[in-house]
Amino acid sequence: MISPEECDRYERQMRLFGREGQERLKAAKVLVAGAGGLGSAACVYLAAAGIGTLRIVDEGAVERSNLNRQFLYGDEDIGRAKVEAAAARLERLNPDVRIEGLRRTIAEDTVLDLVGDCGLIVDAMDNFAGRHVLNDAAWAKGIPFIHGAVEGFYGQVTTFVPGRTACLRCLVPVAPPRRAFPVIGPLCGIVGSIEAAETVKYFTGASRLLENMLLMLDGVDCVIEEVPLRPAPDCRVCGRERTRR
Amino acid sequence: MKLKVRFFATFREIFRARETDVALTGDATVRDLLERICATPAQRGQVFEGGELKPYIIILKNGRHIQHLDGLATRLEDGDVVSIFPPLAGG
Ligand SMILES: [Zn+2]
Repeated sequence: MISPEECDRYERQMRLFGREGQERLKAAKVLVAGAGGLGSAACVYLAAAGIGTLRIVDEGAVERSNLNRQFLYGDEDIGRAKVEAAAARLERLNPDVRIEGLRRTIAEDTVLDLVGDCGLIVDAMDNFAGRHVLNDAAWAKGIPFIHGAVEGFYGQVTTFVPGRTACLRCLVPVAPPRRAFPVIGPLCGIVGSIEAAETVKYFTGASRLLENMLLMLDGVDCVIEEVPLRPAPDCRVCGRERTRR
Repeated sequence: MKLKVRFFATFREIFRARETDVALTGDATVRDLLERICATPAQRGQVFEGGELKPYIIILKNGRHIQHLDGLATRLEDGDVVSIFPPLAGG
């Protein structure tokens, strides 16, 4: 049940989706995969929105070069486990939210365990090998996978829903090798914020989602454009299921 | 046939356009389209590697990756929209 204090805290958003919507957010458990630039924005907005449980998975520690964009952390956090520093910050932001910080590596043999009973995955990874593993787990569990990525002045975001949309392997069939990428903080903030908005919309049913629609953000020209996506019938993750229907 | 080509991310800087209309004769493939739009060696170098498509580049024909179609041999039709961009990997 939502307490009077919670009604007060969430008053501005409950005008949009009511007490019922807020109850749904409180009952929700979300996996945020990665606590970097995208994860900073997504975690802050999801915690502030009152998602009941946020499970944050990241294997890393805070480095000085993270701080141009990863605003979950401050100078004093350098060297500290990201999930630990993130949990401390988010608990201060909203004590009603349960934060589970797991310093683990997302890989084929760990992912199902890490996803557990989460009802949605937010992609805040910095590499496609990890994203593919999460995509496959989302399909195995039948839960939405909100994909976001950034590089330089550009970003992309879309919502994959098993049984309803294409999947990440339709869009990016082969994972490019991991490498250091240039980026400005605000682009991470925009993409991570859209991922958080998609998550809130999914659980509350407040609005349509970015289904089969890739948003491409161009921070040079300051435009956001839509690219319609279509599932690949031969996709090894989402294709078989679609031909069965 | 007339096609629309949309460039995204750094390909906008390399091809100096957000989108462009391209006219090709019938029976054209994605390879024909790429040969047409790559006017400079720098542009070619972003798309091709030894005559084949560079790995990881994303080319969507009407929203579907050509790797799930017939690759460079994918046939194009009048009115097709082809989107081209590098994978954005960061987070
Ligand atoms: Zn797929």
